Amino acid sequence: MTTTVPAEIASFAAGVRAALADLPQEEVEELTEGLEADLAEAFREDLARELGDPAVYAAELRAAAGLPAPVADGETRAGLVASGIDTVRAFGRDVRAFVADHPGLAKVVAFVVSLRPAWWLVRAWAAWVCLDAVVGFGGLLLLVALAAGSVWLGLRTWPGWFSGVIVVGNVVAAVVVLGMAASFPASLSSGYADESFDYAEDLTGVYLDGQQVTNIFAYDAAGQPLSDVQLFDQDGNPLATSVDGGNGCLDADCLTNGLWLPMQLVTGQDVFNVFPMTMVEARWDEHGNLVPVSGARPTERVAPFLQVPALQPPATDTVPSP
Amino acid sequence: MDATQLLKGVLDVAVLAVVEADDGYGYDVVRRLRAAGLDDVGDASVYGTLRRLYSAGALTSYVVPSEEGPHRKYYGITDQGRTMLGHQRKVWAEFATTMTDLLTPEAAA
Repeated sequence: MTTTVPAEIASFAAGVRAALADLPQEEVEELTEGLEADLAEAFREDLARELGDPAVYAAELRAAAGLPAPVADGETRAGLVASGIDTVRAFGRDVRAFVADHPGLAKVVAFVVSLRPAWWLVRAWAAWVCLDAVVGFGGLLLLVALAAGSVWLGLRTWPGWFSGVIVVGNVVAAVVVLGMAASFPASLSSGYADESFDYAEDLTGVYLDGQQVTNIFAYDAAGQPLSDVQLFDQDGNPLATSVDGGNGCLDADCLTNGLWLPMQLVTGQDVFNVFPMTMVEARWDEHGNLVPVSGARPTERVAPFLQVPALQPPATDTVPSP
Repeated sequence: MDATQLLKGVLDVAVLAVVEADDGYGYDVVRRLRAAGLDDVGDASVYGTLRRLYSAGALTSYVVPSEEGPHRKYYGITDQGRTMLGHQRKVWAEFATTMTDLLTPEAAA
């Protein structure tokens, strides 16, 4: 090649810049500013010159400028992506080989693969949900169209780059479906969502200003403490502060656990709505259950007040004063 | 022995000397070095050296628009560059004398 046109010089300069791409952008600009003009002039003067390898040229430029050598291919961003894809592919090969070596596993995989059509419908539904949420555009007809499109996508074989797009779409669909699944039970139990993950005994109880009431102390009209008072709510439900197995702190410092003790009705039924409730010392057995300590006596709970002010006696005249 | 290997060690001082004589843009410096007898000097090496000397503060640079398209980046020497050049001239003179003495049969005799 004895002559060059600016287009070739431009592409050579672009090649040089690409070979310096690991350097800061500012540095590349400083290094190659005026490169096209210099090259063009050099070629006008020396018609026998040939454009060499831009990478070699860049290496010479870099070395003379005292800049570090380019990082190895595997460390560049593009190299990282490529090696990442290679790693995923190698992992896929290993998994397939492992499955092929285990007939039982192969059957499971074959079964899961046979469920693909179901997934095609699920992802169509996910797309429909997204469309509905984003553009407010839903409708049964759209759902049917999406389902048909999804099945069509699933049945055909696609070129590599497009199957990558489908994989990304599947991941998005899976996230949507999982998100919907996670919010579903919460919406069913929203009435007591705060306690939905707590122990069963905490689901039942009496609350005062958000705090659980663990015991109730009743006083009569004279302000004297009552014992063995059965309490019910407005609908006749037992006002129970605990259930079978309910426990709490036996002592003020909570050094010992205690189990709430039910009272027994003449019908034989154990009830937890008789107050004040008593507690028995308990310990954790080898199965992780809280069980009463053998021989422990039920302990009375300490009342907050020994007595409270008596009630004002009812007025003697039955007609209230105007 | 290859002249390009020798050139690597002295390219800094050669470029400084050329730019001290007159401000120049990249290929202009290459052309003057070649005209002076350094035929094998690579233009990328010169451009890289110009950039490094600029980063080190020995050169200053300014861009001159050209009628025919891309801008030209001119380099000029700074006071720091002149000091550097003066020092390297002395180093070179001593080194050259030493090598000449060493390599000249009459002097060694």
